[in-house]
Amino acid sequence: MTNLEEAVADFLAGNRSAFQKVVDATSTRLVRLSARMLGNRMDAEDVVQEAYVKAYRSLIGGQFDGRSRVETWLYRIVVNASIDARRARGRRVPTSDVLDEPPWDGGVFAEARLALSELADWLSELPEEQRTALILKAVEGLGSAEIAEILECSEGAVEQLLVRARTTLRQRRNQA
Amino acid sequence: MKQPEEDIDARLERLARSPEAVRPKPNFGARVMQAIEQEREIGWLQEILRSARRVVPLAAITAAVTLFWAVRSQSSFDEAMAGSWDDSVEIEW
Repeated sequence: MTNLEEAVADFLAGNRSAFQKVVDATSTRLVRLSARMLGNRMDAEDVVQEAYVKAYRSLIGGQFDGRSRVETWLYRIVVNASIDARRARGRRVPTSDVLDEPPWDGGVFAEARLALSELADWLSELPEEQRTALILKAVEGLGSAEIAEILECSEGAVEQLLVRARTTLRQRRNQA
Repeated sequence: MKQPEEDIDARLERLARSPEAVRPKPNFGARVMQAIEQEREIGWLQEILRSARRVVPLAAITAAVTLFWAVRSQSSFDEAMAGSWDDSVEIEW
């Protein structure tokens, strides 16, 4: 059992403060994933915060059945919340939002900030599932099996999404 | 910046670089726990309302039964009083 699984077991046994351990252990990866899906960190923090509240509610309500790993389950919640957030604000990332974001810890992270907005702009034309699969695989470095669990589809379907995404990007590049 | 003939995989790899630079603000954990705390308070309130909603029909039935019993008791008492009045003998002086 990993530390994360232990923290959730502890939480379910009645120690509500164990949720802090879950947040501490996962927030960096989840915010990064959401930021890559949304194109900026500010929106990502809001989405991940909501995702944690949802996860808390699910744990209290006994809706986490433990069939998947805790991290995969949290990834799924964040992916769905990020997709909803993107749909709510429209597909394109408004450049002004990215530029309006306060600087992160000085100029050191400017490159990462630009990388986020470039990624969001570049992949914005792809259908939602293809974008998500590509980010999870090529940017986050997850395996197809885990992506299949997150997207609740088969591994074959994940591979198809990835092939289609690459084909679309290649076609777009050739047209440009 | 995008290189002119950059391959898709190379571009993805470049954009995934220095992941440690994309991280939440230092107070993010505290912010989340505050939101959870609010959720917990709302949860308590909702639990009270949910319990109250469960009690309302029972309370209504109890009130109706009590009212019915009170009315019946009152009319039985009235009948008993009326009967005892009819049976009374007036004393003539």
